[in-house]
Order: sequence, then C-alpha cells, then structure tokens
Amino acid sequence: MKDLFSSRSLVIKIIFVVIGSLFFLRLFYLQVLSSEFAQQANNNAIKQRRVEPARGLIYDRNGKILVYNAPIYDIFVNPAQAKNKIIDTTKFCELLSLTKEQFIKYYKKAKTEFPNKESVFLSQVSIEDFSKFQEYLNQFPGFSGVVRTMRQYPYNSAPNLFGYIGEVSDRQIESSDGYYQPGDYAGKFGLELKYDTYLRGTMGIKYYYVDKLGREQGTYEKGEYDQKPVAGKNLISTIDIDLQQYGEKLMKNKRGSIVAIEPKTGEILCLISSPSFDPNLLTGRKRGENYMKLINDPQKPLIDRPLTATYPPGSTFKVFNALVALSDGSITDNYGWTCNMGYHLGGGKVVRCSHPHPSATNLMDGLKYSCNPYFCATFKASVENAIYSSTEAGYLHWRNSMLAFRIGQKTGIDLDGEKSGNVPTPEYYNKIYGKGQWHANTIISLSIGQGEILMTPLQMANGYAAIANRGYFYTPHLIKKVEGDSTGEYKLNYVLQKTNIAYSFYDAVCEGLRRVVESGTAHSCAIPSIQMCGKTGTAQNPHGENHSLFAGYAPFNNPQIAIAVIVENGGYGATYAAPIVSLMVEKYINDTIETSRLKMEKRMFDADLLNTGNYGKKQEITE
Amino acid sequence: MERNRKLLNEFDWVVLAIYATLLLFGCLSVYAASFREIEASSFMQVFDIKTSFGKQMLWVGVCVVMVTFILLVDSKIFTSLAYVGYIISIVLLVAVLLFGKEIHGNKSWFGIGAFGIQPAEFAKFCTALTLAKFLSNQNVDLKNTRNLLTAFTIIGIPAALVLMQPDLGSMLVFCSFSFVLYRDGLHPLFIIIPFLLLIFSIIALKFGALALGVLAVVSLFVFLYNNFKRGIRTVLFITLAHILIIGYGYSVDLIYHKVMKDYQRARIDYTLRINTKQDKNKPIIKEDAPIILKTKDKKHRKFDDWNIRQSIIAIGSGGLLGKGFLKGTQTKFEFVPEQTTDFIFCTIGEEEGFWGTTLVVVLYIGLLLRLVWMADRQRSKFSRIYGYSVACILFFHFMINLGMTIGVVPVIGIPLPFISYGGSSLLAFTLLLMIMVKLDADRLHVLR
Repeated sequence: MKDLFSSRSLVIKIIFVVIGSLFFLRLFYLQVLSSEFAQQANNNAIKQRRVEPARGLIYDRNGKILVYNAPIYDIFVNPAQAKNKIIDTTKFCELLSLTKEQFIKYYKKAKTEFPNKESVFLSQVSIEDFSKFQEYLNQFPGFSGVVRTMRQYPYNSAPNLFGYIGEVSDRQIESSDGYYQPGDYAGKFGLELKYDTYLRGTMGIKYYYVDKLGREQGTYEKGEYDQKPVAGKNLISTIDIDLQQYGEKLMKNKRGSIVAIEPKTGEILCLISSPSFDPNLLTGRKRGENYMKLINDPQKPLIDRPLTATYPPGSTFKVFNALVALSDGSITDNYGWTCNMGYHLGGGKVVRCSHPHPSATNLMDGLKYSCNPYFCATFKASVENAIYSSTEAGYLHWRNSMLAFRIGQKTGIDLDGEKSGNVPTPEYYNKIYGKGQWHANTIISLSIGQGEILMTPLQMANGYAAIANRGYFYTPHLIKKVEGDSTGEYKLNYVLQKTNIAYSFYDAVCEGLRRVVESGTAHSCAIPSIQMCGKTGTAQNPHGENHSLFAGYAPFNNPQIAIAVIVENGGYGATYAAPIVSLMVEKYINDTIETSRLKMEKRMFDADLLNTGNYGKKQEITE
Repeated sequence: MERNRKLLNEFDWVVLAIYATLLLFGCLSVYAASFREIEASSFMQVFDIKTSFGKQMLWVGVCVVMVTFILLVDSKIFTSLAYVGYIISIVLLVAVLLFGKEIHGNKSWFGIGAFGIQPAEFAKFCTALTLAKFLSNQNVDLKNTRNLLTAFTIIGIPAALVLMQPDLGSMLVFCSFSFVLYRDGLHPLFIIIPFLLLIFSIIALKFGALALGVLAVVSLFVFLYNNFKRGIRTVLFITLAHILIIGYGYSVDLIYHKVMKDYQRARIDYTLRINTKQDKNKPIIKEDAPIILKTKDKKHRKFDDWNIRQSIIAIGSGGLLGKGFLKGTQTKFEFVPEQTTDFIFCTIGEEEGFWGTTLVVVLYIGLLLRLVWMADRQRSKFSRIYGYSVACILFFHFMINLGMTIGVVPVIGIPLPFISYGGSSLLAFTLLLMIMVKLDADRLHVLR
C-alpha cells in the first residue's frame, strides 16, 4: 500500500517538476535566446519625432532681409482624448474663425483617419489667432498646438524669385535620398526649390516614450540619443531690392518685364515680372484661396515673364546681327547702305524702314537710326558670304554665334522654368522650303528681329551684358553667396562664357549703341550725367498694339548695369521701354532722378496700359 | 510556555520563508506595475489606501494578523469548522450569482465599500478541508463507488457554481482535486483519460478532426493486431474506444466552430498557433465580448492575441538581468493589461529578467515539492489530504497563470498566488497555506 502511494506521490512530484522545467525552458527562450522581444518592446514604447530646424533666410546684395521665418501654428487633435468630453464648439469656432460645418468636417476627418492618434486638425493658424486660442486651450481637451515656420516677405516684391514652400511631393521624397517624409515642408518653386538643400538645414530627431495609446510620456534617456537640428544656411542674393521695388513701381499697370544684370559678374540686380503680387499672399491660412484668385486672374500674374515669356526682339536684335557680320568680315565699321525706305526682296516684296532718316553711312549710324534695310543687307552679306559653302552653312555659322550669346538657348539661370527662345535650325528651313531652296531673302525677317526668332527678356539682358563686357559674360544668377557655419562663407562659382566674336569687333557696336541714346531713337531718354548705351525695339504683334522694347547698358565706360525692358503693347520702344530703362539706370547709378526728368518718371509711374483698353484684344504671348 | 516554544520551532520554516519571499516579490511587483497610479497619488504614496499598492499593503497587514492567529490557535478548529465553512461557501457562491456585482459579464464579486470579496477563493480551501475531513473517515474508501461519488460531489458543487459565474479558471482549479484523489487511491485512469482527451483535442484543433481520425484508425489496427487473441470482448472494447475517439475529434471540431464564441476561438488559435482563414466580414473579437477575468477595472479590456503578444514582449524584453526596478517600459506605460493582477508576472519578467522569473519558478516549484513532502510525512489522513489539496490548488494557479503569460496556455484569468494584487485572494491563499503549516506543526501532537 505504502509503496503504491509513495510512487503516486512521486508521480505528482514529477509532474510538478516537469511543468516547472518546461516553463523554465520557455522563459529561457523568450528572455535569453530570443532578441526579438526587446526590439518589439522598443517599437512599442519608444517613438521618434523629427524636429524641424529653422529654414535659412535670404538677403539682398546689400544685406537687407528679403525672406525670413515667422512662427505659425498647426492645431492637432487626438480624437481618443477629445471623445465624450464637452467642448464649447461655438467658442472654439469663434476663436479660430471657423464655421460649425468646418469644425465638424475637420473633426470627422481626424476621427476617421486617426481615431487614436494626433493628427492635423487645422493648419497655418496665425500667431495672433493662436495666442488668443491658447488661453482657452485647456477647455478643449484633446487639442494642442504645434509651432511651425512660415516664410514672410518684408518687401512685398519679387514673388517670382523666391517661390514658395509647401508640403513635399512624392517625387521630392523619392529624390531626397530618404531625407524627406510625407508631411514635411520643402521648397516647391523658385529659389526656395533651387536652393532647398542649403535652406532646409538638417532635421533633428527626438526620441520619446509613448504608452499604449500613443500618448507622449517623456524624453528617452534624457535626450542622449537625440540629434539636434541644424539650422538652414542663409543665402545672399544678387538682387538689389531698392532697384527691384523701383522697377516694379515703374511697371505698375503694365504687362512686361525688366531684367538687370551686373555685366562683370552675371549677378542679376533685378528680375521684374509685371503684373505681380505680394508674396505674402501665398503663405498662411488663406494661401489656397489666394492662389485660386491669382490663377484665375486674366492678367496671369503667376507667370514669370522674364524667364518664360518670349517675344520677337525686334530692333534690339540688330546689334547681334551686326556683330556676326563684323566678325566674319562681311561688313566693316564703315559699311553704308542707302535706305530708300525699303529693302527690296524681289517679287515685289519690300521690308520697310520704320521712319524716315538719312541713309546710314556706317554701322554706328545704322544702329542710331535703326534702319531696317541696313540690317537686311548686313544679314544677307553675312549669311551669303562667299566664305561659306552655301547659305545653309552661312546661316549655321550665324546661328551658332547667336547660341554663344545664349540667344535660342537657355542662359542657365538658377531658377526653374526658363525657356530657350527660338532661333530656327537650318534643318527647320530645309523642311519648310526644301534643302538648298532658301536664301537670305527668304528668311530676311530674322535680320530685324522678327519672324521666327524669339527671345526672353533675360536673354536680352544677358546678351547686352555680353556686349557691355565686349565678348564675355557669366551665367546670370540670383544667389551669390551661401552663408556657412564654422566653415565660413563660400562663394558660388559661375563659369565665364565667351562669345565667339573677338573683342575688337565690339567697338563699333558699342559706339553705335551710345549714339542711339545720345542722338538716335532713344535720345529723349538720355541721362545728363550718364552715358547710357542701348537699342530701342518695337516688336510687331499681330494681335494688337506692338510691344515696346529697349535693351542696353551703362555707363559707356566701365559698365555697371545691363538691362532689358519689355512693355507689352506699349507701342514704340522709345515710348515706354526706353524711358523706363533710363530711369532704372539713373536710379541704380546715381540713386536719384534728376529734376528735369521727374516729369518723365511720373509719366511712367502713372501710365496705365492694363485698364485703358490697349489690352482689349486677347493677347497671345508665345511662352 | 515550553510547549509554545517547541511549537514555534516546529513551524516549517521553509514554507514560511518561501511565503515571505513571494509576498515581498508580490509587493514590489505591484508597486512597479501600478507605478502610474502611485505617481498620481497623494504624498504618503506608499501607504495611500486609494492606490493598489496601498491596498495591498493593508491586506498584507491583515494577512500577518491572520497568520499569527492561525498558527497560535488550536488546529482542531479547522477540522471542526470544515463542514460549516463548506456550507457557507456554497451559500456565498449561490448568493454571488444572484446578488454579486457584474463586471464584464462575470458575477464573481461582492463589493463591500471599497473592497471586495470573492467567494470562489474561499470556497477552494473550504472544499479542501471538507474533502479532507470526509476522506479521513476510516470507513471511506475511494474504491467504493458511493464514496467516490460523494467525493466528486463535494468537489463538483462548488466547481459547477463557479463555472456559472462564469469563471473557467477557478473551475479548472477545482479539477486539480482529482490529483489529490489520485494520490489517495483514485484510479489513474481518471487522470490519464482527461489528459488523453486534452491531447486529442489539441490534435483535432490544430490538425483537424480528420487527422485525429486517421491516427485513431492506425492505432486501432495496431491494438487489434496485438490483442486480437484476447477474445471478442477485448476486440469490441478496443474498437469501440477508437470509434469514440474519432467521434470525440469531430465533436471537438463541432464545439469549436459552432458553440464557441469568437474570442474564445481566437485565444485557442493563438495558443495553438493555428492560422485559420478569417471570415472577412466578421471581426475576430467582438467589442463587447465578456471577459473571463476578475477585475474591478472600469475600462473594458479586450483580450485577444494583441494582449498576449504584449505579455510575451514584456517578458521577453527583460533579457537576462531585466531592465531594472521601475525601469520597465512596457510596465510603466501599461502596454500589458491587468498588469497588477493576472499579468503581474510580466512586470517581474520585464524588470527582473530571466533571473527574476527563474527565481519565481524555483520558489513555486520548491513550495509545491515541500508541501507534498510535508503532506506525505503526516500521520493523519486529514492533514495529508489537505496538504495535497493545497499543493494542487497552488500548482494549477501557477501553471495556468504563468503559462498564460508566456503564451503556452490560452488566456484564462486567474491570479498568481501571493504575488497578484488582490486582497481577498491574498487572504484566501494565506489561509489555505497557513492552515497546512499549522496542521503540520501539530502532526506529532495531535491525533486526528
């Protein structure tokens, strides 16, 4: 009996020990052998959040702040915490200027998508609104505010330059090499986009504990593992904001562009697109609304005209034509041509001269009088010069010279969306007329800047900068320096570009341009104290009034500024474009306008071409 | 006086030491597991009655008083009050079904002010005493069918009442009494057959009733081959048994698919690592599924495999040495539900690591072995039966609770004795254990 029972007692003891051992082994596996659980525990309890650094600022060439950061708030809500609590929604809506419907809509969205986590309820709340709201924040359980930055523009100018920031797109995330995540803000357009990698700094990382509902419980390990954010680098731009604002004022109520470049460096002094708008409109809570208004504005203020609007350059193009003819020996300084108010093409077709003038006996006068037949002849002389095997070859050489000026080719400015204009290839004409079937007279419009040729205002300014330098230029650019940290500032390098026309050939052309202003088509705009050089242009516009053009540089000796102005539908170059150029030049170099010219200045300020019917017809701008 | 001193020396110091150690572990773990509550409480944190820890300390104090009382009082009280206690327990178990507080679909508690009493816990040790008293009678023998039935009834009535609450865990604890009976003469088949049925169930659930059927057919042929010489009755018996097994497999399948609720199925699936195809339209767990759990928490907790995963993560992340007292992230941020009560072991696993958990396992097994050894050395049948009862009750609690936290047993909520937070269970287990210590101390002096 005893033995039977003692063996049973043993059985029971064995069962206890076996179970205990099995548990021991399982615990050994879970705790010692397997490292999976420690990892999972961390995944549960430790989360990381990225800390946005301050975005870099942008200054003008004289140190004035053009773009800075201002705080703005996003309001977050965690529906799990707000559930079943009594919230005075009337007061809430009142404080944040919401309607009840909006409140319900936003709350529902948060509740459906993220019922247990924080998500954005309302973004871009101004600091004024938020400070009022914050006082009552404890009455709205589940709601919190997170500070963000938005860009502010103290000068309500140049929106086409800076661009704007916005939520990063999928493509940007992909190409950011893992830096960006959905919901981040990044540059979307303009300089903000182009220099985004400098401006954005480096994201910081903060590790913190959460509980099982995802509520933040405190910093992990006292922040030892946190990565501090690095502020973005500031940019020094080439823009002279005073000049920019002056130009915008001159272009008020007109459509067109002003581009000014410092010839020796390629630094862009101003880049004006008119009509324009206040860049602050595209920040803050109303940006969506404002954007829709701007997009639907028939004057299309969102288009960046200096880079994207192409026009036939008209008479301003004659200088380039002349330079090519000089350099290949087709003409000399003393080349003369009888105007006869027209250049005969044969078959009864004539290219008329725009106004009566004495015939030009040399190139300088040709430019001074802007004689069309003169340049038709020049073009023909160059393209059909015997040194070329054919017209096609001559034209090819002519075209290549243009490309070297960046006419018919992008300048490479550090903004996106630049158009390259158009100088047709020989193949183009071959297709239309048949190979060997076309000659200078066929494409004679090119000689006076009409026909298929198209240029952007930027290309014009850049071309004239090359002339001012007598044969070279730097890629036009908007940012000259990036402010470093401990490594110091560094200058961005821009490459010198040469035209294929030798220095010596520019003398005659420059002198010609000087005479244009002194006594030629632009003499009414001459500045008493400064020798300005330039060329008027009147671009033919089949849809309405012609475009007023002027491009030039000043002073004649040691040029400081090269500038191109286009006033759409402004008529003759001398009517609007030339005066505006001269005022810009005088302002830039002398800082004041001479008393005798103030009347002209006022006339330019007051000129209103948008609302006085000149733009009645549908305007087509080749873009 | 001298007798008293002698008595003191005869209290089993091993059991007392393990008891004290487990109690200490328990208090520390409750403190750590209720850390958030403590942070939010008033100045005298440690003894604030409103916190779990404070309450636990209060009950510890009560237990100390109880222990002193039990150890000093005449042990004849226990034997004489056995039947009375049993009757009272039955009454209370019925009463709680009628008048108890309903929590998550369970009626297991009486609330008295801020405290609660669970009749089931007290029923366990009253049943032990009663069973012991009944079987200690000279004339009672478990080979006698009538006596056997009486024994089963003594266990069965409270077991059934408990199951009606419903409290599956405690019901299983009552089943542990079968081991006690086994020790004292119950035919081993009573243990072996349920065990086999459990194996068959697992096979049927994990691999399908068909698999079980195939195994049964194979086994049938093997048995017949070996035993066909034994006569037609044996052959019929073997065949019948096997047919019953196949039938059992299909009925398990049937119950699983038709009778069981979603969350019960989910728990079994998780434990047995079954990947069943889910009905896309029906969620696995219904939001309002009743929880088999004794808890006073107001918030509804979903028990599903998320919770077991959290438990395993908490324990597993402790590593060899644990994360340190009060430094467990899963505990502090309450990733594991019921972490002061049924899942208290997770706190130990996370904060003390492998050495902590092993220590608890060793202490428990040690306690159980010591109790069996103590029971065997009793001269009186009463004390022996009672001793085995204590050991088996504690064993089942330990096995189910720990097994659940490490994922080898489906989620069945019962406390871990001496460690889980809970005043009435602490008191009940203390009584359970200390009565044995007293009986043991008296073993040389008192004849029963």
